[in-house]
Amino acid sequence: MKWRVLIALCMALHSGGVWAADGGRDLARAIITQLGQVPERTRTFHETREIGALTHPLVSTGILVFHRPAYLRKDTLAPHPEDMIMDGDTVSIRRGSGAVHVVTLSQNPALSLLATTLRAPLEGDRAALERYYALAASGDARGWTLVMTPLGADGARVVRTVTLTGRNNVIDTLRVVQANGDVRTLTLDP
Amino acid sequence: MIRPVIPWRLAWTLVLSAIFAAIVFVAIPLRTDMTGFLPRGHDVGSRFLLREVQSGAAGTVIMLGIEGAPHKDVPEAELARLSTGLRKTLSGDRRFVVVLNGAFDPVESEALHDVLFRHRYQLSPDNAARDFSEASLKTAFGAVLDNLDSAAGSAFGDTFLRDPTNAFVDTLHALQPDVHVRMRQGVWFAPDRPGDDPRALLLIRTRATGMDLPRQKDAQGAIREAFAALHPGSAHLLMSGPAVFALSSATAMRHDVDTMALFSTLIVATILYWRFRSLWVLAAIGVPFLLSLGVAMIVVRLVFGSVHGIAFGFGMTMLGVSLDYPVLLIGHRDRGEGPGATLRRIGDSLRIGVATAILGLTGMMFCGLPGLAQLGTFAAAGLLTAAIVTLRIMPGLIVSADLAPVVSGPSPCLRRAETARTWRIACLIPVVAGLAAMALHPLRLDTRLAALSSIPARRLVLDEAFRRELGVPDASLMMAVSGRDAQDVLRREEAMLPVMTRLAAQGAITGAQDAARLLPSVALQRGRARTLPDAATLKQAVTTAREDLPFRESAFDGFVDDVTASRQMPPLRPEDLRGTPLATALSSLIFERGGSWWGLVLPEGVSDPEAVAAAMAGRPNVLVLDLHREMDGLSAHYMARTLRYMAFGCLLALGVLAAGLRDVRRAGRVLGAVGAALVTLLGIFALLDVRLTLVHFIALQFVTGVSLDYALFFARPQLDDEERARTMRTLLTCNAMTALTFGLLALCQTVILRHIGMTVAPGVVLAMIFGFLLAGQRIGTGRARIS
Repeated sequence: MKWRVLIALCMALHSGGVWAADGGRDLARAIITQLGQVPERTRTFHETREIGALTHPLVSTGILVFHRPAYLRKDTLAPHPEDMIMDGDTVSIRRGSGAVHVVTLSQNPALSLLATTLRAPLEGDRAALERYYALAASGDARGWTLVMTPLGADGARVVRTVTLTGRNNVIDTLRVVQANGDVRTLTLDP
Repeated sequence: MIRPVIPWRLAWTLVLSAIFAAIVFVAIPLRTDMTGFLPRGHDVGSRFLLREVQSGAAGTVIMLGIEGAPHKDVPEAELARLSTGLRKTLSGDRRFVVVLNGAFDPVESEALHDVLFRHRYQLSPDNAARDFSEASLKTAFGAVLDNLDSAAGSAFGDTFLRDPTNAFVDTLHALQPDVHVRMRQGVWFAPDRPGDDPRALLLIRTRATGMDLPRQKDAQGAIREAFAALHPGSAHLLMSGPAVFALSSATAMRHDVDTMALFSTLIVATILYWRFRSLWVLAAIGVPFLLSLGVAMIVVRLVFGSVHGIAFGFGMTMLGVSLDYPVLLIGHRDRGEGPGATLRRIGDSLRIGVATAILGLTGMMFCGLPGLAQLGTFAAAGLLTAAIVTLRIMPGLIVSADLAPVVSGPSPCLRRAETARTWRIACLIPVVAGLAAMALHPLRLDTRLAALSSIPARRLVLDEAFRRELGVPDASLMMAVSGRDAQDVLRREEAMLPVMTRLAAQGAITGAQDAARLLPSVALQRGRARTLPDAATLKQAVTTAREDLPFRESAFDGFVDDVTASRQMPPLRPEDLRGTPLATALSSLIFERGGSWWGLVLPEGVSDPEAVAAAMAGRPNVLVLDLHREMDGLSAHYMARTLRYMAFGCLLALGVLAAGLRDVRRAGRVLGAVGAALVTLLGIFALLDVRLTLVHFIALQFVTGVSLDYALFFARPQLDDEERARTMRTLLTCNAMTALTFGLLALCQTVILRHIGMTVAPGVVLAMIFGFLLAGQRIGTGRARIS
């Protein structure tokens, strides 16, 4: 018993910090728990999308609103206005002054994964994230990086990796590398 | 009343009759589907189409609505949850081919998805999807960029790039039913409902045909179970469709027939026991009952090939009439009389009575509608058998068991009643009132065949609404295109497309469903492939089109590859789709029958059937079936035919009367009694605003037959007090049996049976009253003759 404790202690010291033990899973869990303690957020975002087929990235800005339970609104203001509201099991999207498109998440696995990726960290819903992703983290509470890699083939068909960076209970960036190599980076203003 | 000696002869005859009836019942099953009851079409073509409608795809549609129970508001989100849950459960169930509720569905079967995507440039009906000019590509690429920019679009980026002109979306769109619904919470909702009372909609096709009632019962039960398992709370499920109607009619009819069989027997047995106070009398009457039922079943089976539940139910009711004969025989016997003595007194009247009652069924027997003809034949065969048994077998049985009424002889009560005949001129009052009622409220006819349908009007309204919203053709107007092979039929359907488009533009129809819409002919697919540009031309166009857009040079390589491959790709044939959901849909719209191929074209939202029929006139290989017109035309035809046979039957009955009575005054009294009963009954109908159908007429003729029977017995000459009392008591017994059993019929859910009951029950009561007052002689004159 003593030996095991000693080995664990040695390994912890060797890998450079108690939080980083076990591939950073404990840190990942701590980050998510901390994020989940904020019941609502409103932040300005800048999004950059690097799409393989395009010669230059697509850039947009807008406002991101989250509140419990399970409500996330992404209002793109420029260059093309678009509202996307995820509320419970439905996603409604309205581009410009066009018609509202409503999709039910339980009927669409790809969108359902996307919704979980965006909402579960904000909700502090570790169980939902761990259903789809292997979690790893590095850094410490003042500056962390959370990397999520899909567990199943279904997830891997849509997403390669998702990376979140932040401080304490604040998210600074969200970077999604899609299965086809396209990358979208969301930067949130402090 | 306990008899020391058991009448063995009677007992054995009863047992043998019971065995005979039991064998017949086991050997001949009852049909309960309404199709067996309806006309089969007037020519080979319409018969073929009617059969296809009933056994084909149109019959497998079940339309569902989910809404709050009356005065209970259920929010849209809850209804959407139930709709989604129902679809989830049922789409995994082998009993259902498709379950649609509008949910975005990237084609459930992955194999089908791949095939349709690969063949999109041959399948897409819109030529714009194949317009690869520089200008259109420029617009298309702009839209792709906008989609990539969208929050939801990024997940489908690769698809946008491969299919910039939306050929795949267009292909899928052509496969979707043409619905007129509102999308709410991602599922279909009825469009014209108040906001606080929404209704979610689903469209289901069963694997079982609409005619396969046992499997339909199973499938429809599965839908209800799946719904209940979702804990619907105060939401409830509405179901409609041909198979739903067929099943509920059949179930109601089965219930009616069982109820009739049980209660008719109970009523008749109770009345007979009350009258005769002897179980042996019941046993004796059981003999003609069982024999007549058995013989009637056999006759109907031989003439029509099957026995319908309605005919049997009616036959059970006829008990009340056919048992009149044995009851009259026993009721008129005096204890100790020999076999011939009773018959000598009543035999003539009984024979004329049987003849007129059977002639009263001619309208029913020869009306031409298979179901009603069965009813008439069943009743006539039963009456005749009961009469023959009464005349040939019963006398011996009755005498051997010494059966006779307990209460007999004159009674002061009856005598007092008979003095009422002094004022029989008062009978003119109801007759005049009846005529006046008919003059003020003329009787209205309803010649529609739908008037005989047991489906309540509100369910038909619901069905119509469902069909309009879900884009389900009601198969009341349809075309069948024939050809050498499947491709021939598809080409002919494609040739009809401009005509259908023109009809839609005129507003005669809103659209049409056919196999060519699901899968174009090989010729059309080849033609489309020929219009596609070669790789070099397309590349050049793509390069020019993307000039001012931020796309890389290789961005549309996948698109160019797919278009180039489509030029040489072998077209998709029906057999390539085997095992996919599309094959099931196709097989109901295009099929081989007897060596040639047939395709059904089902117009939607038909408002002008004449225009459609006119547009199709002169096209070889196209059959048009207008079901409503066919049915209503047939119905008017049957009405005329029924009236003709009724008139013929009445004339014959008059002849029988004249020949049998040989006395003008008596014949006049008998006809007066019958006429008074009929006029009064029609007057009541006029007052109650009953719409007379074919069935009412048939029932009226039947009332006439029974009225004649009563009047004849009352009108027998030279009766002493005792015999008059016997006749009065016996006819009262007969009348009570008939009125009560037919009164029971009036409570049935099956409309045909109900109409008959509502006409016959009051009719026979009136016939009894007028027969007693008018046909019987005044006591004064009767006495004078006897003394």
